[in-house]
Amino acid sequence: MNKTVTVFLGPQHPGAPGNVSFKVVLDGEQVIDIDLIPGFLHRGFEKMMEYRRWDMDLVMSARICVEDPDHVELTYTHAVEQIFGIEPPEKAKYIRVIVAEFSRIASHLLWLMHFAGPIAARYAVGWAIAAREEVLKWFDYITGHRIYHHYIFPGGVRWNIPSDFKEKTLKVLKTIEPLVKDIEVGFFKHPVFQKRAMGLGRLKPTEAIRLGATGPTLRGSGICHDLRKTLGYDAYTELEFKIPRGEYGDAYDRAMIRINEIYESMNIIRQALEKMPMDGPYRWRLPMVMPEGEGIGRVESARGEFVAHIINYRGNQIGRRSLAPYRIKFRGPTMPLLTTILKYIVKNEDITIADLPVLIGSFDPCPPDIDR
Amino acid sequence: MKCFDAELLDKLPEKYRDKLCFVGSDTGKRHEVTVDPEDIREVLKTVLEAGYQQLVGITVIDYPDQGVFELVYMLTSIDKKGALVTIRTRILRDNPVIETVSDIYPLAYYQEIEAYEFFGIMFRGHNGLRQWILEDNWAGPPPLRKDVDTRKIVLELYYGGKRYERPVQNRSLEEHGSWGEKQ
Repeated sequence: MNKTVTVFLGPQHPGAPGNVSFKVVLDGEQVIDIDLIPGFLHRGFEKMMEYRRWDMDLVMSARICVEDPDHVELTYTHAVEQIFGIEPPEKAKYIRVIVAEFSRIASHLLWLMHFAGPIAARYAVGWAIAAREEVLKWFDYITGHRIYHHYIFPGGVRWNIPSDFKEKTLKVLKTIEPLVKDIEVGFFKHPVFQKRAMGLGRLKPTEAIRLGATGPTLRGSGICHDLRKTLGYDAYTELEFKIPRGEYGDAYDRAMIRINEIYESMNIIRQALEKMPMDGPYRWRLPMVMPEGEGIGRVESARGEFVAHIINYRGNQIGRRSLAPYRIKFRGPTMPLLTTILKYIVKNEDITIADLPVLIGSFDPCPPDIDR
Repeated sequence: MKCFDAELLDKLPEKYRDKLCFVGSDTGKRHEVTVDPEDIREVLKTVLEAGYQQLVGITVIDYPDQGVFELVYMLTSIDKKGALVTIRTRILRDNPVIETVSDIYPLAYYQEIEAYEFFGIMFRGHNGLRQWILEDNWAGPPPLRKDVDTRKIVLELYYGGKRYERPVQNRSLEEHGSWGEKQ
């Protein structure tokens, strides 16, 4: 009896990684083929942004990736700043680094919840959310918002920092560090988790590059590539940090990279707090009308390379002085992870349906950046 | 104008070597070359040989006043510390057909589907052009084209032509007035 069954996984399934569905072709328990079905969170942002002013678009851009909004704002900001041809003030560069790294920590902690939940490690879920809550409170204190902050703004940052910024920030780091250590010992060193994740979904470095992997997935395969280091945007050139990388490229390596990145982010924040100038301007005021031009913003987000490509062109609209950008394209890091790479692993390895949540979870997908 | 990638210049087809330039600033600095649409496969193959192994994305820009679609292929190299190359090409708006590059860069398969459903560009040799993100959710023309007013189409298709008003459900509210007055 050699009969294949087609099963739909998601979008309502608790084990599905967010707002996507998969069409899984099964032979018994074995997964033979997997197809992504996106579009459950398509809001048409790229079209909506063409109707709105460029400063309104920033608020919208944060909605593209719920878990890691500050990096999307940062790409958008980089692209707009290239069109205006300006550099942010020195102080704003450091504040941006701190906000972006906190966003990375919050994103990785939320990923821990998504990842540990389907493996039924409920304790790790609680600890991760408790640690993330501290970060969200910090965001509330510094930006006035918990989830979407709209704090990084073209020309600098939106508001100045409070006077007790350093003490409060260090206190948050002090609170979450033991929680993260607990998670590392209790979850990542747990034999059940190691048994499930080790050797699962191995990705060779050459294949990872060819299929378009970026971020922790690429570094998990042993390639030392990080845009923070190579492009050195904002204040990252002034700071010293290591790039964690894996050895075997399996699900366990990809998971360990994220926990190491949380420590590395804390290290970056501590350094930035020390080197940061406490006075000076925090934002240049920009004119309402964006000049014609083109900008490409690229940052290393929590999941990989995030790109915003903005084209401002007036053409036959001369005289109308349109305040909206002509075209904005966002490229998220999730599309290669859930399409080419997932398909490659399923075709080349014995994956059962019970392994799927661990495998998909180890990529840390954020499906809204496919849909946009 | 400095830090020119000599390897890329070497590998490019001869007719485009003069056109290669270095533009942009900050995180957007890159090599850029504008090519004819019929040479796109040949050029991308040479760029792959020059070490740019990853396709970051394909941006499509619609210029109805010039009657063209512009396609921007963004390619990056891991070995060269994330260096970026953008290949630009222009195709006619009336006949938007271009060769597929999905066999050269695997991610292009999905990026081309996106370009097809949002702009209606046909990719010759691509075997899976379909509605992917918009599946079952959009009946109008390709929505990201500049001459398509999505707001108007949405009102006509899904709101019965009335602005912000569902004709049947909201009537009861109108009849009864606002919440407080009826009491």
